[in-house]
Amino acid sequence: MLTVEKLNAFYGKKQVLFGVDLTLRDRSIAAVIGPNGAGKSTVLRSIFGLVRERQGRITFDGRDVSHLSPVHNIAAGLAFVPQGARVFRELTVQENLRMGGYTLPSAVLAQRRESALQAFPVLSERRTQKAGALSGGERQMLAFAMALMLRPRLLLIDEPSIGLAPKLVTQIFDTISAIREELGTSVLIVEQQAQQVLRVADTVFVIRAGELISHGPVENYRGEDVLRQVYLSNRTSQVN
Amino acid sequence: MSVLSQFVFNGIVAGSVYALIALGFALIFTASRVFHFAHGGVYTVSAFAGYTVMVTLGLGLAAGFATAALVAALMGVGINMVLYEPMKAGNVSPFVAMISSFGVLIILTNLTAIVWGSNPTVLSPGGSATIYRLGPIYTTGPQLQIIVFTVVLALLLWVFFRFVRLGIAIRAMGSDAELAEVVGMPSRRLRHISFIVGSGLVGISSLLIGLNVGIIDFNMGFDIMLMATVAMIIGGLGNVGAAAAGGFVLGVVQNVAIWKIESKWQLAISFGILILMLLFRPSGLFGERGPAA
Repeated sequence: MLTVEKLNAFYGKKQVLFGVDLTLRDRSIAAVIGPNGAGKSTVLRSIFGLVRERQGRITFDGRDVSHLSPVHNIAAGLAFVPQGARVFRELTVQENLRMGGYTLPSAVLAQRRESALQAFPVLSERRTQKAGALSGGERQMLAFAMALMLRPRLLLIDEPSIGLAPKLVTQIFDTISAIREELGTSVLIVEQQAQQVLRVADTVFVIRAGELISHGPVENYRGEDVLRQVYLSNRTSQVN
Repeated sequence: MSVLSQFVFNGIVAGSVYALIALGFALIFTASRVFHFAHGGVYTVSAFAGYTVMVTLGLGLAAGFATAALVAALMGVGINMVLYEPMKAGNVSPFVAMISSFGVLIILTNLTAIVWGSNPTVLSPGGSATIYRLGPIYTTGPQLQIIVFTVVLALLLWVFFRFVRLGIAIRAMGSDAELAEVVGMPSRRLRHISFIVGSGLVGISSLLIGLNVGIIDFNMGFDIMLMATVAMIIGGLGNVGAAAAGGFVLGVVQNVAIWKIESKWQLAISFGILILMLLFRPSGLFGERGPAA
């Protein structure tokens, strides 16, 4: 459903992605992993249109979305959950949900907000509280709920485990798995903690220094030493 | 007692004036996080534009107000387009935007003096104002209009920011501009709308206040911007209700103080309060304490 071909991205004059290729099947979960500063987040931000200086071809459901801005990508069926449990801290929980569905017609929005509150009872209890007062795990749930207001066909999630306790991280990845099962949403996750994301992903892409160095089905990456070998290897390889 | 109640009432009138300026400023600040000092310049120019249509051309009160609102709205959105948006796109520090805004305030103040002269200009609805008596208090029509307009406007803006999707979106955008883009908000358009509405309101306020004082002069925006800024710091930044309340508190304290202390100390008192607030309660009397990060 998503194909990325020869993606280059730049911050000013500095090139941070070098010809990244990536494909994602319908209703699958793909993980982009790699060392710190490899450009993993930039992959997501470029696909969603937050990084505007990008080259290459991105197609979604056969449609060319290479040059779309975030608002048009939303209309095409994408949604993005940024890093660090980003929510509007000064707004209440229900206001945040309303803003997550900003682009929806009012009637649809109200209905989806109610189902979001049902799906996340923690948020329902705190619907009138400021989002800034929530715990890290609750804020991450709210960030998911906001993106799901749009009922995206593809959800892009940037480092959902950052700053969360290990137990919560497990819970967050269970939630991602449940989102795919229940809503049929495809998911592209960027993650530093490879162990956790490999538990739920179908496909793996390894990025290092802005280049795709390895990709393949998740089974091939589950061994103890595989990742270390992949991270340290010098050539592009497909692990079979 | 009756003297005190008159001073308090005068304070409420003065406070309404500060609150009116602070409300538009707070709306713009909420949306763009710019310290829009040029707001004072928009206030001055729109007052003179309204005066020209109303008095010089003799087209009447309604045309005067419409002109002031229109000129102010166009100036506000123009300043945003030419000055703040390019700065935002270039990731310039908000501090630089604030200093530039102050520069625009000075330019507009001086342009007004060049175009309309530096002498105070009489602005009167014709004849002297009727004086009303409410119990122990003496007041005039324009004074009552200002108070009512301020209270109604503050309530409308409060409702807008709490319950209307556009208003909540403007708050959201001020809280996190990138996340606003992620959820698909048209950020630029929202900021333009805020500048149009916030400035249009200050245009209307400029004539209301001008008619109350009876004169307008080229320096009026400079002085009032200073007091509106103090009012907002007293009330709390980025919150329309707090900005209005800060205006009322400042107006009443200033006017009650000169009951007991010589009026030449009025400015010193205002800035004394400002310093105390910054020392002991920097988030303002009614402001929300932001997250620590």
